[in-house]
Amino acid sequence: MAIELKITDSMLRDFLETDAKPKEIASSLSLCGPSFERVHKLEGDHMYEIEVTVNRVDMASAYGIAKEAAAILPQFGHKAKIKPIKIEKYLKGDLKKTPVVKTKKVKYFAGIVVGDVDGKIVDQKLKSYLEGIGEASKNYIVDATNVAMYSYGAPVHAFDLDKIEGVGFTVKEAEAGETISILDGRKLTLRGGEIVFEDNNGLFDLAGIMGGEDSKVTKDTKRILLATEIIDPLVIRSSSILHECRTHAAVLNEKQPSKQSYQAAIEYACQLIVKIKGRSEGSFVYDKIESSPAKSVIVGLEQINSTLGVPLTKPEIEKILSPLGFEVKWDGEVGQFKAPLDRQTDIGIPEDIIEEVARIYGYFKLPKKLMTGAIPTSKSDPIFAFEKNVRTLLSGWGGHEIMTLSMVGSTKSSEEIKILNPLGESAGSMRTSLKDTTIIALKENNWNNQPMFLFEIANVYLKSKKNKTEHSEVSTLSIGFANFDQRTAQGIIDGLKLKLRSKRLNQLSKVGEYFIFEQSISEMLDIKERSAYKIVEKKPLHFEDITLTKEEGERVSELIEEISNATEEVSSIDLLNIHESKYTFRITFNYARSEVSDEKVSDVRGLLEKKLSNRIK
Amino acid sequence: MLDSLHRARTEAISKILGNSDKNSLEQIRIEYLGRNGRINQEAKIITSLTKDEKVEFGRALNEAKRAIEGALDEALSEREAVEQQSFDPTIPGILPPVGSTHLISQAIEEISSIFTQIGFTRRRYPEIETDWYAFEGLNMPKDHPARDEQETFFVEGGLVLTPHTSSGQLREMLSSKPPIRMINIGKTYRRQSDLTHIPMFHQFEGLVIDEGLSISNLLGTLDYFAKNFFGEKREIRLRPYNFRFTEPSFEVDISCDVCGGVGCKFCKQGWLELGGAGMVHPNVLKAGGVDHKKYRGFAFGWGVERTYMMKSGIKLGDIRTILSTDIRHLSQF
Repeated sequence: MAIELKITDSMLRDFLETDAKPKEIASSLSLCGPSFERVHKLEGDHMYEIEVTVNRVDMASAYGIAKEAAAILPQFGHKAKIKPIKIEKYLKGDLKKTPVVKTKKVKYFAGIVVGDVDGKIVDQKLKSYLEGIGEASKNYIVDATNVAMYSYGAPVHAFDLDKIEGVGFTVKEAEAGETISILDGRKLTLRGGEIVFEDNNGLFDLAGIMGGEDSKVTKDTKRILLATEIIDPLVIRSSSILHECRTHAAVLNEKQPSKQSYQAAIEYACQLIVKIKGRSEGSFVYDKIESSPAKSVIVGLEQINSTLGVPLTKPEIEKILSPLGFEVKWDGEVGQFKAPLDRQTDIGIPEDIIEEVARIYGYFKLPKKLMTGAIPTSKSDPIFAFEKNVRTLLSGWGGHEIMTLSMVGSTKSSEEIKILNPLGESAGSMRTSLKDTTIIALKENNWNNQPMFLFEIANVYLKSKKNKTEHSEVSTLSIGFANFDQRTAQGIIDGLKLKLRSKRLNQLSKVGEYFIFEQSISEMLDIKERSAYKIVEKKPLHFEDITLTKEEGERVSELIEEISNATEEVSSIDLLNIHESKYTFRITFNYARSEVSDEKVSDVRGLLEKKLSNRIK
Repeated sequence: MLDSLHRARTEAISKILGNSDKNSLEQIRIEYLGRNGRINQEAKIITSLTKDEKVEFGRALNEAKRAIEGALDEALSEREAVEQQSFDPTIPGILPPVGSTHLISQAIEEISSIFTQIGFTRRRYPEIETDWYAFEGLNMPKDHPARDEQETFFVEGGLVLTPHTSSGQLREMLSSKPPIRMINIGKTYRRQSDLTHIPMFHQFEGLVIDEGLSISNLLGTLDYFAKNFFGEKREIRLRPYNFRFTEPSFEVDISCDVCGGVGCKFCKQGWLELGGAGMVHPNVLKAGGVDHKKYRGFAFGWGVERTYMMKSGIKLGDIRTILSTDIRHLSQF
């Protein structure tokens, strides 16, 4: 997330003296500070679209960008320095009547009354600044507040003082159900807790977010109140999101610029107005912010250099930090770094200082070095290689791997874990099985009458039966077969068992027209040791084919077991053919035909037929 | 004494002539020239012959064998010649069953193998996490916007579906002692669904903890990955950014493959955004039980889907297609 800022090159150069061209400013700063997303050419000017990280609201203004530019541009060989603007001190706190603040969520509230204004006047310079960044110009009063906001990074609002009952209004937390008409034309019903301004006529400002329609400056305005306030950022955030009112003012207020920024913004706005037409009539300041002494951060030179990976000297570090307003005092190789006032919340630990040095120095100048330390000896979980093997086998046999959402509709299982804020009812729980999504995937491919199978390896999520607050995530394999005969589908499972050496695999199940297999990977990972190498017989092994009758309801496994019990020295029993109730098996023995006598072969055959006589019909 | 031998020879040759079947010719060979074949059976009378008769018989026997062998060879050669003439290499084959592994599985495999080459251990940590592992332990206090209901899925029991693989950093630090090189690849969840976002996606998270680590090591590692994954000519760069769990934090860019870094309509001044990275915040090291005065760490976390599609140039239009189960989509990978 970032703060989006638009300023013109002219606005920036009100605060910055440099020989760098706009594209040079953009590319240099992007590497070391705020990110210049785009540079637009305007007639006689340029406009910058900048993204400022949320922890650097001090940069979210022309002045803030100018300070960064003064530090960064010299690293690229450009001349650059700050051009401070002299602002008159208008905030003197000399008004007798002041607003009544009835909430602790407002920590600072300043206002300046300006009389003798004329809402019909439009100033071309202010207008061009705003139109350059795509904002509409209204009149010089409103334009001045907006330019001040973009110049110093703190919102200022102008009220038509004749539309409200003077400056003795109330600042409070709204009650649930109260309404306010705001500047975008909407009438809001408040939830309760939003910070609002109120007089006897009702609410006239959604403080820190958007002004009210009833108090706005118009062509007829003659007297205004300029106001700026520091409000609890959580209230700003929740109120502006709730009412879909994410104005630039709300975004700034949520990120809490410094008190100095608010003071500079309101006084600058007043100065801009007074220079065109107006007269300051007094001000008030409500300040409950406890000032604390500026903090210092102690960082050793060794820590800075070893973190960067390059050896900088103390003078180099000072040269980097001083344009940003940092003060450094060295005690040997250890530095005491004091941040400027508007960076006090952002700079608190040695790593913050290291970041300032590194980014201004330039990350692009740092060498690229792989680690040379000892390689850790911890081992990867064998499950990854096993899953890869399963994927390779199944895709090699024609299966297509699918990936489906972990969230499904509720199955009312006691084991399922519910999502409290799902995107929809059909995704309200974490799945306890892959089977259902596999079947849906098979159905989605029902235009394809060819045999196909799909598989997925993913977690299922199960609440513990003993302790409902515990859960397990079980990596599971699911395979779904469509347009497959059972034996071919079973062959895939048998192939897995053979190649993976799993001790036990689940049986196929039949769901409608599909065959489904599902099992946890950890169960499949219970594998047999590789069997000892068997010397390959040069001669083919002896075999007997036998056809048995299977009764209705009986399982083929019962026939195979009977055969296995009926004879010895068996290498394998394979089902060759099925015709109605007749099942033909090939019994392969573990000796070659040529190594046994005709008598033995005859005896074995005879014994088989005798023991299985009730099946041979 | 030679009549029977001659009859056997004639019989064999007449069976061979005009016969082009390979199996049949082999049967003829066994029948007449095999160990128990006709010719050898005829040879049994040799013990009852006189010395002169043996010489004559032996000569006739060898001639018979040569004649039959010759006829067999010629028949087989003719057959091969015919087969060669009728062989057409342009006949389309019958495809064996051709399946596919999922695009994301391929991506994960490729990404994982690059990092394991430089000593990283692959991990997969829980998708359902406690608040502490997902946020608080990563230096994100309770009022941080990432916890906002709009972005995180909340699960009964006070748990969340982890929105990032960074939760794995804490689990790794708490279960392993430095030095640590971890690549955690797993599913992550964010409450959003549109053309460019899906509610369930994958991230890969690298974490390295050791003594004396520097930003240069992070650059070296990311550069190693970028060159192996995207190609030798690609470059990466770091720009300042902000994450709660790293300090300093970076946005990582890669040079554009379309314009080679010069600048074009597909990139921003020659660069494309890859993802985030940074030096692990000391609060996170502390939460992971690592002595932040002795050790430093760096971490990076990028989207698997996004990174892979940048490399392959696959343009899906709607990213939700990644979760399509249509075989026509799956079989393209």
